[in-house]
Amino acid sequence: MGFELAFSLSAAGRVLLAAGGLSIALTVAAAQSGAERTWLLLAGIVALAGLAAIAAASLPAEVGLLLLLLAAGQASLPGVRSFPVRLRGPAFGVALLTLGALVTHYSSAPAFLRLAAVLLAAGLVASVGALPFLQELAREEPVPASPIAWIGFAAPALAIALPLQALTSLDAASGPVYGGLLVALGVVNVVWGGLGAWRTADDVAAWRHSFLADWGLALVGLGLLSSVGSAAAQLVLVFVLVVRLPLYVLARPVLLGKEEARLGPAQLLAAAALAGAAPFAGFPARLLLLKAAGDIYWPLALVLLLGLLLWLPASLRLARTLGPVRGLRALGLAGVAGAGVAIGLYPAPLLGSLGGG
Amino acid sequence: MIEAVTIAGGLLAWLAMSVLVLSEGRAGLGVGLAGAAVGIGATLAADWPPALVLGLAGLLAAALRARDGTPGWGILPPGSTPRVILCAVAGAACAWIGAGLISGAEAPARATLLAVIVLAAARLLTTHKREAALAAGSALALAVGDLGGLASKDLALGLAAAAGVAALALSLLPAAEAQTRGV
Repeated sequence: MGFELAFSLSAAGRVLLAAGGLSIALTVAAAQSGAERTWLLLAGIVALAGLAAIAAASLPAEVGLLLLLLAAGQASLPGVRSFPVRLRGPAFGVALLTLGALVTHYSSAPAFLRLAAVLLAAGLVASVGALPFLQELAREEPVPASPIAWIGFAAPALAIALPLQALTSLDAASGPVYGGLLVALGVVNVVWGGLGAWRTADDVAAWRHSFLADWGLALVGLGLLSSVGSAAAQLVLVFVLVVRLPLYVLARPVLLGKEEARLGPAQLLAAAALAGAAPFAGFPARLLLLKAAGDIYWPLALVLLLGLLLWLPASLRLARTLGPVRGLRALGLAGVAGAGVAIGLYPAPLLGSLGGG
Repeated sequence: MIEAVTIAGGLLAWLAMSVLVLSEGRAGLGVGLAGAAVGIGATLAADWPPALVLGLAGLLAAALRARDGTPGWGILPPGSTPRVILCAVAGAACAWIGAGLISGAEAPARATLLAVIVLAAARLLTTHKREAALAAGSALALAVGDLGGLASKDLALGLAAAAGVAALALSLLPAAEAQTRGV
Protein backbone atom coordinates (compact mmCIF):
# COMPACT_ATOMS: atom_id res chain seq x y z
CA MET A 1 0.00 0.00 0.00
CA GLY A 2 1.56 3.29 -1.04
CA PHE A 3 0.96 6.72 0.39
CA GLU A 4 1.98 8.60 -2.74
CA LEU A 5 -0.51 9.99 -5.26
CA ALA A 6 0.00 10.01 -9.00
CA PHE A 7 0.53 13.42 -10.67
CA SER A 8 2.06 13.99 -14.10
CA LEU A 9 1.75 17.17 -16.13
CA SER A 10 1.29 16.48 -19.86
CA ALA A 11 2.49 18.76 -22.67
CA ALA A 12 -1.08 20.03 -23.07
CA GLY A 13 -1.18 20.72 -19.34
CA ARG A 14 2.04 22.71 -19.55
CA VAL A 15 0.61 24.78 -22.43
CA LEU A 16 -2.53 25.48 -20.42
CA LEU A 17 -0.47 26.42 -17.39
CA ALA A 18 1.64 28.85 -19.44
CA ALA A 19 -1.55 30.32 -20.91
CA GLY A 20 -2.92 30.64 -17.37
CA GLY A 21 0.18 32.53 -16.26
CA LEU A 22 -0.06 34.87 -19.25
CA SER A 23 -3.77 35.30 -18.56
CA ILE A 24 -3.05 36.44 -15.00
CA ALA A 25 -0.48 38.98 -16.23
CA LEU A 26 -2.86 40.37 -18.87
CA THR A 27 -5.84 40.36 -16.53
CA VAL A 28 -3.92 42.19 -13.83
CA ALA A 29 -2.79 44.78 -16.38
CA ALA A 30 -6.38 45.15 -17.62
CA ALA A 31 -7.83 45.75 -14.15
CA GLN A 32 -9.07 49.22 -13.30
CA SER A 33 -7.57 49.93 -9.88
CA GLY A 34 -4.58 48.92 -7.78
CA ALA A 35 -6.74 47.13 -5.20
CA GLU A 36 -8.48 45.13 -7.91
CA ARG A 37 -5.08 44.24 -9.42
CA THR A 38 -3.77 42.90 -6.10
CA TRP A 39 -6.96 40.93 -5.58
CA LEU A 40 -6.83 39.44 -9.09
CA LEU A 41 -3.13 38.60 -8.76
CA LEU A 42 -3.51 36.76 -5.44
CA ALA A 43 -6.63 34.86 -6.49
CA GLY A 44 -5.06 34.10 -9.87
CA ILE A 45 -1.89 32.62 -8.39
CA VAL A 46 -3.85 30.37 -6.03
CA ALA A 47 -6.17 29.32 -8.86
CA LEU A 48 -3.16 28.66 -11.12
CA ALA A 49 -1.75 26.25 -8.54
CA GLY A 50 -5.11 24.48 -8.42
CA LEU A 51 -5.28 24.44 -12.20
CA ALA A 52 -1.82 22.85 -12.39
CA ALA A 53 -2.74 20.21 -9.83
CA ILE A 54 -5.98 19.32 -11.65
CA ALA A 55 -4.26 19.18 -15.03
CA ALA A 56 -1.60 16.88 -13.55
CA ALA A 57 -3.97 14.58 -11.66
CA SER A 58 -4.25 11.09 -13.06
CA LEU A 59 -7.11 9.65 -10.99
CA PRO A 60 -10.79 10.71 -10.93
CA ALA A 61 -10.68 10.89 -7.13
CA GLU A 62 -7.74 13.30 -7.22
CA VAL A 63 -9.55 15.56 -9.70
CA GLY A 64 -12.74 15.38 -7.63
CA LEU A 65 -11.02 16.41 -4.41
CA LEU A 66 -9.02 19.21 -6.05
CA LEU A 67 -12.12 20.47 -7.83
CA LEU A 68 -14.09 20.52 -4.59
CA LEU A 69 -11.33 22.43 -2.78
CA LEU A 70 -10.88 24.93 -5.61
CA ALA A 71 -14.63 25.54 -5.81
CA ALA A 72 -14.88 25.95 -2.04
CA GLY A 73 -11.95 28.38 -2.15
CA GLN A 74 -13.62 30.48 -4.82
CA ALA A 75 -16.97 30.31 -3.03
CA SER A 76 -15.29 31.65 0.12
CA LEU A 77 -14.11 34.84 -1.57
CA PRO A 78 -16.15 37.94 -0.71
CA GLY A 79 -18.89 38.23 -3.28
CA VAL A 80 -22.55 38.85 -3.90
CA ARG A 81 -23.88 35.30 -4.22
CA SER A 82 -24.04 33.08 -1.14
CA PHE A 83 -21.53 30.27 -0.51
CA PRO A 84 -23.97 27.38 -1.19
CA VAL A 85 -25.08 28.94 -4.48
CA ARG A 86 -21.48 29.25 -5.63
CA LEU A 87 -20.40 25.78 -4.49
CA ARG A 88 -23.34 23.76 -5.75
CA GLY A 89 -22.49 23.65 -9.48
CA PRO A 90 -18.93 22.31 -9.20
CA ALA A 91 -19.89 20.07 -6.26
CA PHE A 92 -22.74 18.58 -8.29
CA GLY A 93 -20.20 17.97 -11.06
CA VAL A 94 -17.93 16.17 -8.57
CA ALA A 95 -20.89 14.03 -7.46
CA LEU A 96 -21.70 13.06 -11.07
CA LEU A 97 -18.05 12.33 -11.87
CA THR A 98 -17.71 10.17 -8.74
CA LEU A 99 -20.88 8.25 -9.59
CA GLY A 100 -19.58 7.71 -13.12
CA ALA A 101 -16.22 6.49 -11.81
CA LEU A 102 -18.03 4.20 -9.35
CA VAL A 103 -20.06 2.59 -12.12
CA THR A 104 -17.06 2.13 -14.45
CA HIS A 105 -15.03 0.58 -11.63
CA TYR A 106 -17.63 -1.98 -10.63
CA SER A 107 -19.44 -2.87 -13.83
CA SER A 108 -18.44 -3.84 -17.33
CA ALA A 109 -22.02 -4.44 -18.53
CA PRO A 110 -22.68 -2.36 -21.69
CA ALA A 111 -25.77 -0.67 -20.26
CA PHE A 112 -23.92 0.46 -17.13
CA LEU A 113 -20.92 1.67 -19.11
CA ARG A 114 -23.25 3.78 -21.26
CA LEU A 115 -24.81 5.16 -18.08
CA ALA A 116 -21.30 5.90 -16.78
CA ALA A 117 -20.50 7.71 -20.04
CA VAL A 118 -23.55 9.94 -19.55
CA LEU A 119 -22.61 10.61 -15.91
CA LEU A 120 -18.99 11.45 -16.79
CA ALA A 121 -19.98 13.78 -19.65
CA ALA A 122 -22.65 15.49 -17.54
CA GLY A 123 -20.14 15.73 -14.69
CA LEU A 124 -17.62 17.52 -16.90
CA VAL A 125 -20.22 20.00 -18.16
CA ALA A 126 -21.63 20.58 -14.65
CA SER A 127 -18.14 21.14 -13.24
CA VAL A 128 -17.42 23.67 -15.97
CA GLY A 129 -20.75 25.44 -15.45
CA ALA A 130 -21.83 25.36 -19.09
CA LEU A 131 -25.42 24.79 -20.25
CA PRO A 132 -27.53 23.12 -18.86
CA PHE A 133 -25.68 23.62 -15.56
CA LEU A 134 -25.34 27.41 -15.52
CA GLN A 135 -24.34 29.08 -12.29
CA GLU A 136 -26.23 32.18 -11.14
CA LEU A 137 -24.73 35.47 -12.30
CA ALA A 138 -24.52 38.66 -10.23
CA ARG A 139 -23.34 41.66 -12.29
CA GLU A 140 -21.83 43.48 -9.29
CA GLU A 141 -19.77 40.51 -8.13
CA PRO A 142 -15.96 40.98 -8.18
CA VAL A 143 -14.27 39.07 -11.01
CA PRO A 144 -12.35 36.51 -8.87
CA ALA A 145 -15.57 35.41 -7.13
CA SER A 146 -17.76 35.38 -10.26
CA PRO A 147 -18.86 32.38 -12.35
CA ILE A 148 -17.07 34.02 -15.29
CA ALA A 149 -13.71 33.59 -13.52
CA TRP A 150 -14.62 29.94 -12.92
CA ILE A 151 -15.61 29.17 -16.51
CA GLY A 152 -12.85 31.37 -17.96
CA PHE A 153 -9.91 30.47 -15.74
CA ALA A 154 -10.38 27.45 -13.47
CA ALA A 155 -12.50 25.20 -15.67
CA PRO A 156 -10.10 24.84 -18.66
CA ALA A 157 -7.91 22.50 -16.56
CA LEU A 158 -10.83 20.07 -16.48
CA ALA A 159 -10.67 19.74 -20.26
CA ILE A 160 -7.15 18.37 -19.89
CA ALA A 161 -7.77 15.93 -17.05
CA LEU A 162 -11.30 14.60 -17.31
CA PRO A 163 -11.76 13.41 -20.94
CA LEU A 164 -8.51 11.44 -20.78
CA GLN A 165 -9.56 9.71 -17.57
CA ALA A 166 -13.09 9.07 -18.85
CA LEU A 167 -11.93 7.49 -22.09
CA THR A 168 -9.50 5.16 -20.34
CA SER A 169 -12.32 3.83 -18.17
CA LEU A 170 -14.93 3.46 -20.94
CA ASP A 171 -14.97 0.81 -23.66
CA ALA A 172 -15.31 1.10 -27.45
CA ALA A 173 -19.12 1.04 -27.27
CA SER A 174 -19.58 3.60 -24.50
CA GLY A 175 -16.84 6.01 -25.60
CA PRO A 176 -19.00 7.34 -28.47
CA VAL A 177 -21.87 7.92 -26.01
CA TYR A 178 -19.52 10.14 -24.00
CA GLY A 179 -18.31 11.93 -27.11
CA GLY A 180 -21.79 12.26 -28.61
CA LEU A 181 -23.17 13.85 -25.46
CA LEU A 182 -20.28 16.31 -25.30
CA VAL A 183 -20.81 17.24 -28.96
CA ALA A 184 -24.56 17.68 -28.45
CA LEU A 185 -24.12 19.85 -25.36
CA GLY A 186 -21.32 21.71 -27.12
CA VAL A 187 -23.55 22.61 -30.08
CA VAL A 188 -26.27 23.77 -27.67
CA ASN A 189 -23.73 26.02 -25.93
CA VAL A 190 -22.35 27.37 -29.23
CA VAL A 191 -25.81 28.32 -30.51
CA TRP A 192 -27.30 29.50 -27.22
CA GLY A 193 -24.12 31.30 -26.21
CA GLY A 194 -23.83 33.03 -29.60
CA LEU A 195 -27.47 34.12 -29.57
CA GLY A 196 -27.31 35.21 -25.94
CA ALA A 197 -24.13 37.22 -26.41
CA TRP A 198 -25.85 39.06 -29.26
CA ARG A 199 -29.42 39.48 -28.04
CA THR A 200 -29.51 39.44 -24.24
CA ALA A 201 -30.30 42.79 -22.59
CA ASP A 202 -27.62 42.78 -19.88
CA ASP A 203 -24.01 43.31 -21.01
CA VAL A 204 -22.50 41.16 -18.22
CA ALA A 205 -24.84 38.31 -19.19
CA ALA A 206 -23.78 38.85 -22.83
CA TRP A 207 -20.14 38.39 -21.83
CA ARG A 208 -21.01 35.25 -19.91
CA HIS A 209 -22.82 33.90 -22.97
CA SER A 210 -19.71 34.52 -25.05
CA PHE A 211 -17.71 32.33 -22.63
CA LEU A 212 -20.40 29.67 -22.97
CA ALA A 213 -20.13 29.79 -26.75
CA ASP A 214 -16.37 29.28 -26.55
CA TRP A 215 -16.83 26.40 -24.14
CA GLY A 216 -19.36 24.97 -26.60
CA LEU A 217 -16.64 24.83 -29.23
CA ALA A 218 -14.28 23.21 -26.73
CA LEU A 219 -16.88 20.59 -25.79
CA VAL A 220 -17.47 19.77 -29.45
CA GLY A 221 -13.71 19.38 -29.97
CA LEU A 222 -13.37 17.13 -26.94
CA GLY A 223 -16.41 15.11 -27.97
CA LEU A 224 -15.02 14.36 -31.43
CA LEU A 225 -12.59 11.96 -29.73
CA SER A 226 -9.81 12.71 -32.21
CA SER A 227 -6.38 14.20 -31.60
CA VAL A 228 -7.16 17.13 -33.95
CA GLY A 229 -10.48 17.81 -32.21
CA SER A 230 -8.84 17.67 -28.81
CA ALA A 231 -6.06 20.04 -29.90
CA ALA A 232 -8.67 22.44 -31.33
CA ALA A 233 -10.60 22.33 -28.06
CA GLN A 234 -7.51 23.12 -26.04
CA LEU A 235 -6.55 25.93 -28.42
CA VAL A 236 -10.03 27.40 -27.90
CA LEU A 237 -9.42 27.28 -24.16
CA VAL A 238 -6.04 28.98 -24.58
CA PHE A 239 -7.95 31.69 -26.48
CA VAL A 240 -10.41 31.98 -23.58
CA LEU A 241 -7.55 32.38 -21.10
CA VAL A 242 -5.37 34.76 -23.10
CA VAL A 243 -7.92 36.84 -25.01
CA ARG A 244 -11.50 36.64 -23.74
CA LEU A 245 -10.92 36.77 -19.98
CA PRO A 246 -8.53 39.78 -20.02
CA LEU A 247 -10.88 41.63 -22.38
CA TYR A 248 -13.79 40.95 -20.01
CA VAL A 249 -11.78 42.46 -17.13
CA LEU A 250 -10.99 45.41 -19.40
CA ALA A 251 -14.73 45.88 -20.00
CA ARG A 252 -15.70 45.89 -16.29
CA PRO A 253 -15.75 49.71 -15.81
CA VAL A 254 -18.31 50.10 -18.63
CA LEU A 255 -20.27 47.06 -17.45
CA LEU A 256 -20.54 48.60 -13.97
CA GLY A 257 -21.58 51.98 -15.38
CA LYS A 258 -18.35 53.78 -14.39
CA GLU A 259 -17.37 54.60 -17.98
CA GLU A 260 -19.21 55.24 -21.24
CA ALA A 261 -19.40 52.57 -23.95
CA ARG A 262 -17.83 53.55 -27.28
CA LEU A 263 -16.72 52.08 -30.59
CA GLY A 264 -13.25 53.24 -31.72
CA PRO A 265 -10.27 51.60 -33.42
CA ALA A 266 -9.21 49.75 -30.25
CA GLN A 267 -12.73 48.37 -29.86
CA LEU A 268 -12.82 47.24 -33.50
CA LEU A 269 -9.52 45.46 -32.96
CA ALA A 270 -10.97 43.77 -29.88
CA ALA A 271 -14.12 42.84 -31.82
CA ALA A 272 -12.01 41.05 -34.42
CA ALA A 273 -10.10 39.21 -31.70
CA LEU A 274 -13.32 38.22 -29.89
CA ALA A 275 -14.92 36.99 -33.11
CA GLY A 276 -11.99 34.68 -33.75
CA ALA A 277 -11.14 36.44 -37.00
CA ALA A 278 -7.76 36.05 -38.69
CA PRO A 279 -5.02 36.73 -37.66
CA PHE A 280 -6.05 36.30 -34.02
CA ALA A 281 -5.77 33.22 -31.82
CA GLY A 282 -9.38 32.13 -32.23
CA PHE A 283 -9.00 31.68 -35.98
CA PRO A 284 -6.73 28.60 -36.14
CA ALA A 285 -8.72 27.05 -33.30
CA ARG A 286 -11.98 27.43 -35.22
CA LEU A 287 -10.41 26.31 -38.48
CA LEU A 288 -8.98 23.22 -36.83
CA LEU A 289 -12.29 22.43 -35.17
CA LEU A 290 -14.17 22.72 -38.46
CA LYS A 291 -11.63 20.40 -40.07
CA ALA A 292 -11.94 17.86 -37.25
CA ALA A 293 -15.75 18.02 -37.39
CA GLY A 294 -15.77 17.80 -41.19
CA ASP A 295 -13.52 14.75 -41.12
CA ILE A 296 -16.02 12.90 -38.94
CA TYR A 297 -19.44 14.22 -40.02
CA TRP A 298 -19.69 17.17 -42.40
CA PRO A 299 -23.18 18.37 -41.35
CA LEU A 300 -21.71 19.02 -37.91
CA ALA A 301 -19.09 21.28 -39.48
CA LEU A 302 -21.92 23.12 -41.29
CA VAL A 303 -23.85 23.62 -38.04
CA LEU A 304 -20.69 24.90 -36.35
CA LEU A 305 -20.00 27.26 -39.24
CA LEU A 306 -23.51 28.71 -38.95
CA GLY A 307 -23.04 28.97 -35.19
CA LEU A 308 -19.76 30.84 -35.70
CA LEU A 309 -21.57 33.46 -37.77
CA LEU A 310 -23.44 34.42 -34.60
CA TRP A 311 -20.09 35.55 -33.20
CA LEU A 312 -19.90 38.56 -35.53
CA PRO A 313 -22.71 40.79 -34.17
CA ALA A 314 -22.07 39.52 -30.65
CA SER A 315 -18.37 40.46 -30.81
CA LEU A 316 -19.14 44.00 -31.96
CA ARG A 317 -21.60 44.36 -29.12
CA LEU A 318 -19.11 43.07 -26.55
CA ALA A 319 -16.23 45.17 -27.90
CA ARG A 320 -18.32 48.35 -27.44
CA THR A 321 -18.22 47.71 -23.68
CA LEU A 322 -14.45 48.12 -23.56
CA GLY A 323 -14.53 51.89 -23.21
CA PRO A 324 -11.48 54.15 -23.43
CA VAL A 325 -8.20 52.56 -22.32
CA ARG A 326 -5.12 54.42 -21.09
CA GLY A 327 -1.91 53.69 -19.21
CA LEU A 328 -1.44 50.16 -17.91
CA ARG A 329 -4.84 49.12 -19.25
CA ALA A 330 -3.78 50.15 -22.76
CA LEU A 331 -0.69 48.02 -22.25
CA GLY A 332 -3.00 45.15 -21.24
CA LEU A 333 -5.03 45.57 -24.43
CA ALA A 334 -1.84 45.67 -26.48
CA GLY A 335 -0.63 42.52 -24.71
CA VAL A 336 -3.90 40.73 -25.48
CA ALA A 337 -3.70 41.78 -29.13
CA GLY A 338 -0.01 40.81 -29.36
CA ALA A 339 -0.52 37.39 -27.74
CA GLY A 340 -3.61 36.80 -29.90
CA VAL A 341 -1.77 37.68 -33.10
CA ALA A 342 1.29 35.62 -32.11
CA ILE A 343 -0.80 32.51 -31.47
CA GLY A 344 -2.96 33.18 -34.52
CA LEU A 345 -0.05 33.59 -36.93
CA TYR A 346 2.20 30.92 -35.51
CA PRO A 347 0.10 28.25 -33.78
CA ALA A 348 2.38 25.36 -34.79
CA PRO A 349 4.40 25.13 -31.52
CA LEU A 350 1.20 25.17 -29.48
CA LEU A 351 -0.51 22.64 -31.72
CA GLY A 352 2.53 20.40 -31.55
CA SER A 353 2.27 20.35 -27.76
CA LEU A 354 -1.49 19.89 -27.87
CA GLY A 355 -1.24 16.91 -30.20
CA GLY A 356 -2.82 18.43 -33.28
CA GLY A 357 0.24 19.54 -35.17
CA MET B 1 -17.25 -10.53 10.70
CA ILE B 2 -15.88 -7.99 8.20
CA GLU B 3 -19.06 -8.39 6.13
CA ALA B 4 -21.22 -7.57 9.17
CA VAL B 5 -19.10 -4.50 9.97
CA THR B 6 -19.37 -3.19 6.41
CA ILE B 7 -23.15 -3.68 6.36
CA ALA B 8 -23.49 -1.95 9.73
CA GLY B 9 -21.24 0.84 8.43
CA GLY B 10 -23.47 1.27 5.40
CA LEU B 11 -26.59 1.55 7.54
CA LEU B 12 -24.88 4.01 9.87
CA ALA B 13 -23.67 6.14 6.96
CA TRP B 14 -27.17 6.30 5.45
CA LEU B 15 -28.76 7.15 8.79
CA ALA B 16 -26.13 9.81 9.50
CA MET B 17 -26.46 11.36 6.04
CA SER B 18 -30.23 11.47 6.63
CA VAL B 19 -29.57 13.44 9.83
CA LEU B 20 -27.28 15.77 7.86
CA VAL B 21 -29.99 16.27 5.23
CA LEU B 22 -32.74 16.81 7.81
CA SER B 23 -30.85 19.15 10.19
CA GLU B 24 -30.48 22.91 10.22
CA GLY B 25 -28.52 23.20 13.49
CA ARG B 26 -24.79 22.75 13.99
CA ALA B 27 -25.19 19.79 16.37
CA GLY B 28 -27.28 17.90 13.84
CA LEU B 29 -24.88 18.67 11.00
CA GLY B 30 -21.87 17.68 13.12
CA VAL B 31 -23.40 14.39 14.24
CA GLY B 32 -24.50 13.64 10.66
CA LEU B 33 -21.00 14.22 9.33
CA ALA B 34 -19.41 12.20 12.16
CA GLY B 35 -21.72 9.25 11.57
CA ALA B 36 -21.13 9.37 7.83
CA ALA B 37 -17.36 9.35 8.39
CA VAL B 38 -17.50 6.38 10.78
CA GLY B 39 -19.87 4.54 8.44
CA ILE B 40 -17.68 5.15 5.39
CA GLY B 41 -14.64 4.04 7.36
CA ALA B 42 -16.43 0.88 8.45
CA THR B 43 -17.23 -0.08 4.86
CA LEU B 44 -13.46 -0.08 4.23
CA ALA B 45 -12.83 -2.28 7.28
CA ALA B 46 -11.03 -4.94 5.24
CA ASP B 47 -8.28 -2.38 4.56
CA TRP B 48 -7.94 -0.74 7.97
CA PRO B 49 -5.29 2.05 7.52
CA PRO B 50 -7.30 4.12 4.99
CA ALA B 51 -10.49 3.30 6.90
CA LEU B 52 -8.95 4.68 10.06
CA VAL B 53 -7.65 7.80 8.31
CA LEU B 54 -11.04 8.54 6.71
CA GLY B 55 -12.92 7.89 9.94
CA LEU B 56 -10.64 9.99 12.14
CA ALA B 57 -10.43 12.86 9.66
CA GLY B 58 -14.20 12.82 9.32
CA LEU B 59 -14.68 12.87 13.10
CA LEU B 60 -12.31 15.83 13.41
CA ALA B 61 -14.09 17.59 10.54
CA ALA B 62 -17.42 16.97 12.28
CA ALA B 63 -16.11 18.42 15.54
CA LEU B 64 -14.91 21.51 13.68
CA ARG B 65 -18.24 21.82 11.89
CA ALA B 66 -20.13 21.73 15.16
CA ARG B 67 -18.15 24.69 16.55
CA ASP B 68 -20.16 27.44 14.81
CA GLY B 69 -23.38 28.06 12.94
CA THR B 70 -27.00 27.91 14.04
CA PRO B 71 -27.09 26.54 17.63
CA GLY B 72 -28.96 23.33 18.45
CA TRP B 73 -29.99 20.28 16.47
CA GLY B 74 -32.61 21.74 14.17
CA ILE B 75 -33.73 18.28 13.08
CA LEU B 76 -36.95 18.01 11.07
CA PRO B 77 -37.78 21.71 10.75
CA PRO B 78 -41.23 22.61 9.37
CA GLY B 79 -41.55 21.71 5.69
CA SER B 80 -39.06 18.86 5.81
CA THR B 81 -41.44 16.15 4.58
CA PRO B 82 -39.91 16.10 1.05
CA ARG B 83 -36.47 15.63 2.62
CA VAL B 84 -37.72 12.71 4.73
CA ILE B 85 -39.10 11.08 1.58
CA LEU B 86 -35.81 11.78 -0.23
CA CYS B 87 -33.79 10.07 2.50
CA ALA B 88 -36.02 7.00 2.54
CA VAL B 89 -36.22 6.64 -1.24
CA ALA B 90 -32.51 7.37 -1.76
CA GLY B 91 -31.55 4.79 0.87
CA ALA B 92 -33.68 2.08 -0.66
CA ALA B 93 -32.73 2.92 -4.25
CA CYS B 94 -29.00 3.10 -3.50
CA ALA B 95 -29.11 -0.21 -1.64
CA TRP B 96 -30.92 -1.81 -4.57
CA ILE B 97 -28.66 -0.33 -7.26
CA GLY B 98 -25.40 -0.68 -5.34
CA ALA B 99 -25.92 -4.16 -3.99
CA GLY B 100 -28.34 -5.63 -6.52
CA LEU B 101 -28.06 -4.11 -9.98
CA ILE B 102 -24.29 -3.59 -10.02
CA SER B 103 -22.68 -6.96 -9.41
CA GLY B 104 -19.30 -7.90 -7.91
CA ALA B 105 -17.53 -7.74 -4.59
CA GLU B 106 -17.80 -4.96 -1.96
CA ALA B 107 -21.57 -4.54 -2.36
CA PRO B 108 -22.09 -2.77 1.02
CA ALA B 109 -19.30 -0.29 0.26
CA ARG B 110 -20.82 0.44 -3.16
CA ALA B 111 -24.30 1.00 -1.79
CA THR B 112 -22.91 3.20 0.98
CA LEU B 113 -20.94 5.31 -1.46
CA LEU B 114 -23.99 5.77 -3.66
CA ALA B 115 -26.13 6.82 -0.70
CA VAL B 116 -23.56 9.28 0.66
CA ILE B 117 -22.94 10.87 -2.75
CA VAL B 118 -26.64 11.16 -3.61
CA LEU B 119 -27.65 12.60 -0.23
CA ALA B 120 -24.66 14.98 -0.06
CA ALA B 121 -25.40 16.24 -3.59
CA ALA B 122 -29.09 16.63 -2.76
CA ARG B 123 -28.22 18.67 0.34
CA LEU B 124 -25.77 20.85 -1.61
CA LEU B 125 -28.31 21.52 -4.34
CA THR B 126 -31.14 22.49 -2.03
CA THR B 127 -29.64 24.33 0.95
CA HIS B 128 -29.13 28.06 1.34
CA LYS B 129 -27.27 27.67 4.64
CA ARG B 130 -23.50 27.88 4.48
CA GLU B 131 -22.81 25.43 7.32
CA ALA B 132 -25.07 22.80 5.74
CA ALA B 133 -23.28 23.19 2.38
CA LEU B 134 -19.91 22.88 4.12
CA ALA B 135 -20.96 19.74 5.98
CA ALA B 136 -22.36 18.19 2.80
CA GLY B 137 -19.17 19.16 0.95
CA SER B 138 -17.06 17.44 3.64
CA ALA B 139 -19.19 14.29 3.35
CA LEU B 140 -18.78 14.38 -0.43
CA ALA B 141 -14.99 14.70 -0.05
CA LEU B 142 -14.92 11.66 2.24
CA ALA B 143 -16.99 9.70 -0.29
CA VAL B 144 -14.60 10.66 -3.11
CA GLY B 145 -11.68 9.44 -1.00
CA ASP B 146 -13.57 6.23 -0.24
CA LEU B 147 -14.11 5.59 -3.95
CA GLY B 148 -10.43 6.24 -4.63
CA GLY B 149 -9.54 3.68 -1.96
CA LEU B 150 -11.92 1.10 -3.38
CA ALA B 151 -10.75 1.69 -6.94
CA SER B 152 -7.02 1.67 -6.27
CA LYS B 153 -5.78 -0.36 -3.32
CA ASP B 154 -2.20 0.84 -3.91
CA LEU B 155 -3.18 4.49 -3.52
CA ALA B 156 -5.91 3.95 -0.94
CA LEU B 157 -4.02 5.49 1.98
CA GLY B 158 -2.88 8.54 0.02
CA LEU B 159 -6.36 9.20 -1.30
CA ALA B 160 -7.92 8.69 2.12
CA ALA B 161 -5.46 11.22 3.55
CA ALA B 162 -6.18 13.66 0.72
CA ALA B 163 -9.93 13.25 1.26
CA GLY B 164 -9.46 13.78 4.98
CA VAL B 165 -7.51 16.97 4.35
CA ALA B 166 -10.22 18.20 1.97
CA ALA B 167 -12.97 17.45 4.51
CA LEU B 168 -11.00 19.22 7.23
CA ALA B 169 -10.32 22.20 4.99
CA LEU B 170 -14.04 22.57 4.29
CA SER B 171 -14.84 22.28 7.99
CA LEU B 172 -12.23 24.91 8.86
CA LEU B 173 -14.20 27.49 6.87
CA PRO B 174 -16.44 29.52 9.17
CA ALA B 175 -20.21 29.20 9.06
CA ALA B 176 -20.66 32.95 8.67
CA GLU B 177 -20.64 34.30 5.11
CA ALA B 178 -17.73 36.56 4.18
CA GLN B 179 -18.74 40.21 3.98
CA THR B 180 -20.73 40.68 0.80
CA ARG B 181 -19.33 43.27 -1.52
CA GLY B 182 -19.42 44.23 -5.16
CA VAL B 183 -16.80 45.99 -7.27
